[in-house]
Amino acid sequence: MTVVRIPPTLRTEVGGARQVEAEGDTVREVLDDLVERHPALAPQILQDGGIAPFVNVYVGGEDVRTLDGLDTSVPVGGTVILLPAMAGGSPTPPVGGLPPGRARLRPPRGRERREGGLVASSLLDLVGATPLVELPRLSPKSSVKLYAKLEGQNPTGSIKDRVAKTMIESAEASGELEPGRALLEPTSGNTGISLALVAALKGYPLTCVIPENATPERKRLLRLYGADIVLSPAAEGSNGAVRLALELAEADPRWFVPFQYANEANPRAHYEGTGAEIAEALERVDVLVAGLGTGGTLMGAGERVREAFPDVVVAAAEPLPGDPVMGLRSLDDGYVPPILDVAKLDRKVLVSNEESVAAVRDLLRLEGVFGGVSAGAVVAVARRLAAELDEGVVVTILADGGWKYLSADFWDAEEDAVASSMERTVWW
Amino acid sequence: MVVPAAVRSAIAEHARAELPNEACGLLLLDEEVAIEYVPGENASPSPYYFELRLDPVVWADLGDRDVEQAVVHSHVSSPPRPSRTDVERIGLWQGRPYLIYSVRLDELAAWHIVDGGIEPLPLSR
Repeated sequence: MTVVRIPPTLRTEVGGARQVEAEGDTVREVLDDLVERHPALAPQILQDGGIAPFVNVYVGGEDVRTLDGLDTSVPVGGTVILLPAMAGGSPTPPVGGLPPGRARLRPPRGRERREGGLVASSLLDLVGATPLVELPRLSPKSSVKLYAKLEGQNPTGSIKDRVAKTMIESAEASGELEPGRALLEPTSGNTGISLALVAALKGYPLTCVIPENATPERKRLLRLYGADIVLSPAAEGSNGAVRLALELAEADPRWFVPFQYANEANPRAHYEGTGAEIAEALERVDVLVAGLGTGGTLMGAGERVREAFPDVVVAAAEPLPGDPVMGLRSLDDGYVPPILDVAKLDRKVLVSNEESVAAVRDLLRLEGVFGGVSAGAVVAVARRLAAELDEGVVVTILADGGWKYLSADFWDAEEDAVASSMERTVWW
Repeated sequence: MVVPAAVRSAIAEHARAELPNEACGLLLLDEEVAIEYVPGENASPSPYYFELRLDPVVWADLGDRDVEQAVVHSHVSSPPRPSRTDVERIGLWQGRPYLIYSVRLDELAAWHIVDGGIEPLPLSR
């Protein structure tokens, strides 16, 4: 029998008791038994098949949301603690962002602000809390504010730091990933570099499966961060890397494959991080634009921003089918990542190589933002959707900076040379 | 509700220590008189947001004492009045005492949030 401690806020529902008993081997079984014995508790603690948003459930002193959720085991004779989930806050600042000179005001856990700057206890504590910058010269009309979230300011220079950190720490918390186990991930770049940083700091060996035509910078960075590389055929692109990695993992169960395409920690990193930061920083968002890669950014950030601004249009920038744009993914090219629910996208806007290259050049020339190759695609789409509004706020997420693409011709070559370069190389 | 000067000072001190982020904690009340402020951790550190975290066993033990609890958090620069976020996230704390301390204004105010509405609770030292 499990003891369930009841907070004062829920005692009316259990006849005033401070603790009650329930049976079960998992949190789900205990809570199901609890609501059977005390039906008035049901709407307060369970909603839509999960734990209700305004209650926290603890086993062994840990919030079960950080463990296995409702599937968390409850030890024999253990205690489950229910507590209110209390959150709130002051009014967010007006459109225009955070107060002047305080662009990184949000130190997450592990960071602290001291006289003279921000001090972090680990580089991993510097993941996220990226700034938004307004792009007034790229906005098609003064009544529409266009903002870019600069994910290139993460420690390894891309948005994938959020995903890598969350995937590894979630697997550690659930017990799925044990110390010293080897990691394997298909990636053509940023995710591998981010995983390599996390793996190096946490002591896991990492092998990345990457297409053989990934940029030399990517391969070199992966090796410098300590990752081993297995090459997959260039002709198969990133889908080939996925295929080969899954084959390797199936042949040898010692591998732990975080697999960003199907790992719920991927969208969760964006729900709790990217999206929450946007919702917190701005008073209004009418359109949110992100690239369609694994779908993690669009699903996670899109959901969180929609919670804050129910009428927001969540738009995916998608390359033309067969067009090797920027490593973004055309759904018509054959692989739909399991974490991607296309029904949750309000718009899918196709973007060509030419438009993307023009936009990434404008981004640098007019706003001084040195964006990565997918930045051109999302900025092109953001400008197009901004032009459809009479007034409002458009936010676009720039996945990385341009530094890892310096061997490319995007910024200064003739257009023909750019197109030819893009067809030769995998960029994502 | 009465918040004696010493307890009020503890709230203000914690709020200033957490700058530039919001601070949060629990106030213990005996017959509507605040007797102790228990500082919590802001699990989502931000100048515009708080998420109260206390050791769950400690919080559960506090709930077993014969005292009432109030949630307290700080607003860094805005007045000590519930924001839209406060109202939307009141959850299980609906109808219970909810205090806000404004660091910039050095003001403490108490509220009830019920069914999306807010009503002030008279506060004295």
